[in-house]
Amino acid sequence: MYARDAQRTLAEALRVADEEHRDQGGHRPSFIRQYVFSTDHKWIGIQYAVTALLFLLLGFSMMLLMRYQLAWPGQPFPALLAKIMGDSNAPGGMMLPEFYNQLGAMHGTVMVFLAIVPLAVGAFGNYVVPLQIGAPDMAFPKLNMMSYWLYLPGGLLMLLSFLVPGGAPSSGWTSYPPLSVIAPHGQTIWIIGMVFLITSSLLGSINFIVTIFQLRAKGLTFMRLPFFVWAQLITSFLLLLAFPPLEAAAILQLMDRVAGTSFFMPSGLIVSGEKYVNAGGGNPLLWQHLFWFLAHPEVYVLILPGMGIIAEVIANNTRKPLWGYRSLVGAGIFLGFMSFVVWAHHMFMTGMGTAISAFFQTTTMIISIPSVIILTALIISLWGASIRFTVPMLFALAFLPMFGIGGLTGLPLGLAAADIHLHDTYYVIGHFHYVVAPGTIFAMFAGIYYWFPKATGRQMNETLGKLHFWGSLIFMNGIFAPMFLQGLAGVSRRLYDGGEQYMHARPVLHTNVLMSVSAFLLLAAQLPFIFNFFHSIFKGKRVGSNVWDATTLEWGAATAPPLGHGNFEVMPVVYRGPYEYSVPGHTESDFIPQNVPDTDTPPAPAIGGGMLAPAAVAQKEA
Amino acid sequence: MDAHAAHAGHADGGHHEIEIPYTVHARPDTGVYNGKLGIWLFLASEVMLFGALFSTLVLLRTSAPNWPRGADLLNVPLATLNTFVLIASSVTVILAWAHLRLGNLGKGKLYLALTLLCGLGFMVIKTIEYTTKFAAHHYPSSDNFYATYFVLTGLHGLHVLGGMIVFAYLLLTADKWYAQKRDQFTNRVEVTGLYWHFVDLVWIFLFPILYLL
Amino acid sequence: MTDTTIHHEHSEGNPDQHAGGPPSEPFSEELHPTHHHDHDPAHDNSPEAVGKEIRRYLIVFGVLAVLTAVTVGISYLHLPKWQAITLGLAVATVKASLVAAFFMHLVSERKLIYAVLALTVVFFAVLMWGPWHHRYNAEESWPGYDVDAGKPAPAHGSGH
Repeated sequence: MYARDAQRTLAEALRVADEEHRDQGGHRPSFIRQYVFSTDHKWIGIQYAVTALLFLLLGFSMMLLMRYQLAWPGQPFPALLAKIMGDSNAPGGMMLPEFYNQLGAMHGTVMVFLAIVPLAVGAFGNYVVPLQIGAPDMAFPKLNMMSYWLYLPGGLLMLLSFLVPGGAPSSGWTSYPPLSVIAPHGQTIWIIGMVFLITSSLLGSINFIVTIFQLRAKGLTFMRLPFFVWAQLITSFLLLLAFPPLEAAAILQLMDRVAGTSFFMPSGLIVSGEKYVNAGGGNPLLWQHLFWFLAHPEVYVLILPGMGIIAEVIANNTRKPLWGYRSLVGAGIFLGFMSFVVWAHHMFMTGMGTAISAFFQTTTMIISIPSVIILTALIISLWGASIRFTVPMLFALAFLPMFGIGGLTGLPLGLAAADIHLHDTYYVIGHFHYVVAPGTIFAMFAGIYYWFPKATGRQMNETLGKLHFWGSLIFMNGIFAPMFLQGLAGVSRRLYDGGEQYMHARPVLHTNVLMSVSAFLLLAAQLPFIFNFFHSIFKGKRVGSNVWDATTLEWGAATAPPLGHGNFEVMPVVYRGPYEYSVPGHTESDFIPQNVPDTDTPPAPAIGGGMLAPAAVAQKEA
Repeated sequence: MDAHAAHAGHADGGHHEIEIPYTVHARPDTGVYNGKLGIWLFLASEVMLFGALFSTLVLLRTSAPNWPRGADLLNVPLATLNTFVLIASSVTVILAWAHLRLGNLGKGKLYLALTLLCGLGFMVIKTIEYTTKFAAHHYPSSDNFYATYFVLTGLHGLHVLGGMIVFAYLLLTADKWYAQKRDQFTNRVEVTGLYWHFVDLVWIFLFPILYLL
Repeated sequence: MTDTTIHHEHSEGNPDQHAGGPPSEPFSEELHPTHHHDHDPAHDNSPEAVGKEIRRYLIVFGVLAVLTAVTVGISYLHLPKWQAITLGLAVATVKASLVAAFFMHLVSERKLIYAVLALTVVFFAVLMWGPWHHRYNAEESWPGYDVDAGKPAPAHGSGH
C-alpha cells in the first residue's frame, strides 16, 4: 500500500537518508545527533536491542561459570576461565563461594533488568509500537533518548561492581537485608545502578502509554490494536506503578548502608561476632514487601511483551485471525491488575499468619486464570490453521508448551502449604526459568527472526534458524527439567557446591552434570544464531517490505524505514482489525492489511455497532 | 518536567522533519494533549513513590516501642510558615498560567518569578531546620524517627529543587518561547504547574503526619 | 469467528467518525488547526473567564490558609491518638482535594485522567495495607508473643 518497495538494507537506507539531508542545503544532523543521541524510535530500538543482547550473553556467561562450579564442585576451573575470573575470585582455579554468590546475584540482576526487559520493552516496544499504530515516532522522542542513555550507564555501572573491593553484589538479585546492608561496596553500586534503571524505565513507560493513547492512526480504535500493542500498554502501566516502591526501598537501603540508618536493621544484630552499632528498630520484612511489590509485577513485565510477540507470529503463520481477541485483551488487563496483589506469595515463609497467607494464596490462584486464558486462546488459534513452519513460528509453537510447564509448576508454589517444602529450592529456579527462558527468550527470538526483515530488508537464514531453534529447545529442557527433581528432593537454592554436603541431595546430585553439560551445549546452539544475525545484515536474502504477508501496519512502512523522517510517506488510516487473514469472500489474497478500505463500498461510519452498507454485506457473505 | 515537548521545530538545533501530533492541542477523543497525559502518569508514579515511604513510616512507627511526638522534637512554627509558603507558590504558578493564557507575558513571568522565590524560601527554611538538627547531633542514623523525618522531607525537598530548576529554565527562555510558540510554552507552564501542585500536595500530608501527630 | 472486523466499533478510541476519507490527508486538521486556542470550555481564554478563575484560585488559597491554621490549632489540643490521626488526615485530605480539584483542575479534567488516578489510588491503598498487616499477625505466628510488650503505657491519652 504505502510501501516504497525499495529493496534496501539498513545501511543503504541510512546512506540515502544522509544524501537527502545533504540535499536540503546542509541540514544534515551530525553523527552524534543521528546515531549516538538519536531521538528516532527505530534507532533507539536498535540501540536497546544490541545492548540488551550483549547483556544477555554476559548474563548467560555468568551462568555458565556457575554451572561449571555446580557440576564439578571442588575441582579447579580450566586455566583460561580461571585467568578470566582472576586470582581474587578463583585462587588456583577454585571458585570462591563469595564469587559464586556474586555471579548468582549478577546473573539475576543482569538477566532481568539489563537484558530481558530492555529487549522486550526497550527494543521491540520502541521499534515496533509506533510503526504498528501508524505513528511518526514516540510521543516524546527526547525522553526516549534519555531512557536509553540512563539504561546504558546504569548497566555499565552494575558491571563495574565486579572490579571494586569486595566484588560485585552478592546478596541475590533480591538484596535482602540485613545481609545486603552489611555487604561490601558492590551492593551500593547495585543500588545506584538500580536508580538509573528505574528512572529509565519510568520515562519509558510514560512514553509508551502516551504514545499508544495519543498517536494511534485514524481509525485505529483500541479493539483494533494488535495484541502486541496491548501487551506493551499493560506492561507500561505495570512498570509505571510498580517500580517506584522499589526506588523508595533502594533509597532506604542506601541510607542504611551509607548513612547508618536502621530502616531494615533490627536491634541487637551481631555481625561476625561483634555487635552491629546502629539505632535499631528496623524491619527486614519491610524491604521484602517493597521489593516484591515491584518484583512480582516485574515478572509479568517479563512475559507480557513475549506473549504479544507470540500472538503476532501465530496469527501471521496460521493465516487466520487469533481466536478470542477480546478474551486476550480482557485477560491481559485483568492479569496486569491482579499482578499488584499477589506479591507476598514470595513471603509465605516469613511468619505472615494464616489470614494473610490465605489472601495471597487466593489471589495467586486467581491470577493463574488469565494466564491460562491467554495460553488457551493462543493454542486454539492453531485449530484448523494452515500452519507455516517458519523459524519465528517454530519458536512460537515451542513457547506454548514451555510456558505451560512454567505456569503449571508455579501452582504448587502459590499454594502456601506446598510452598513450605518447595520455597527456596531448585524447584523455584526450574519454574521461573521455564517461563523466562523457553518462554520469554523464545518469544524474543521469534520476534528477532520475524522483524529482522522489516529493520534490515533482508531475511535471516532459515537453516541456521532451525538449528538454533532445535538446539535451544532441547538443551533448555536439559538444563531446567531436572531442577524440579532437585527441588522436590529438597536441594536449596544458592548453594555454591550444588548441594554436595547434604544427605538429601545425594540421590539427585548427578543431575548437576547433566544440567551443566546442557548449558554448554546451549551456548553452542546460540552460535548459529549469532553468526546468522550479523551475516544476514550484510549478506542475507533481500526481501520486500512485507515478506511475511502480514496485516499489521508496520509491514506497510518502507523496508528499513530511514531515520529522522517519520515512518510513513502518507500517514495510514485504519479500516479493519489487526488479523484479517483468510477473509471469506476475499479471493485475491489470504490477508488484508489493516489500512486497506473496502474497495466496493464507501467505508462504514465508525459509530458503535456500525452497520455496513448492504452492498458490502452482500460482498462479505458471497 | 519539561522534556515532554516535541522537537517540532528547530529550537534545539535538531534537524528533524517529524511533527508529533497533539503536542500542543488536545486529541479529541482523549481530551488531552501529550504533555498533560504524560505529567499525570508521572504524578501517578510519584504517588506510589511517596506512598512507599508513607507505608514505611506507618510500619516503623506502629511497631516501635517508643516513638516521639513530632511536635515535641520538630519546629512546628517554622514548618507552618513553610506550609503557607508552599501553598502560596501553588497559587502564584497557577496565576502565572492564567496570565499567560490571557496573553500577558509580563505578569506571567512575574508570577513565575514569585513561584521560584517561594520555592527558594521553602528551601531556605528547610535548610535552617536541617542545620539546627545537625547542630544538635540529630542525624538520620540517630533513630528511626529522625531517619524517616529526614528521608521523607529530604526526598520532598529534592522534588522542590527539581521544580525550581524547571521554573528557572522556563523563566529564562520565556521571551523566546512565548514569541515563537505561545501555546506550547503555556502548556509547559501548565504541566510544570501540575507537578508543582503535586509537590505541594505531598507536603500537605507530610506536615501534619511528621510535625503534628 | 472473530470480532476484529469493522462491524465492531467502540467509539472510544476513534478520533474521527469517518473511517474513510482520502488517505493522503495526514493529521492535517490536528497538526495545523484553524483555531489558535483550545476550545475546551475548561480552557476558555477570554478575560472574563480567566478573571473568574483567578478569583476562584484566590478563594481556595484563603481556605487553604485557614485550614492550615486549623490543623495546627487542633494539634495543640493534644487529642487521644486515634482522634488526632483521624482529624489530622481528614483536614489534610480536604486541603489536598482542594489543591487537586481547583489548582490541578481535576474538576474539569477528562475521564482518562480520572481513570489513571483511580487505578493509582487502588494500588496505593494496597501498598499502604501490605507491609502493615504483618505486625498484627505476629501473635498468630508465635503464640504468646505480645506485640505491645516494650511499649510504655499511654500517659494521659496523648498521641504516643
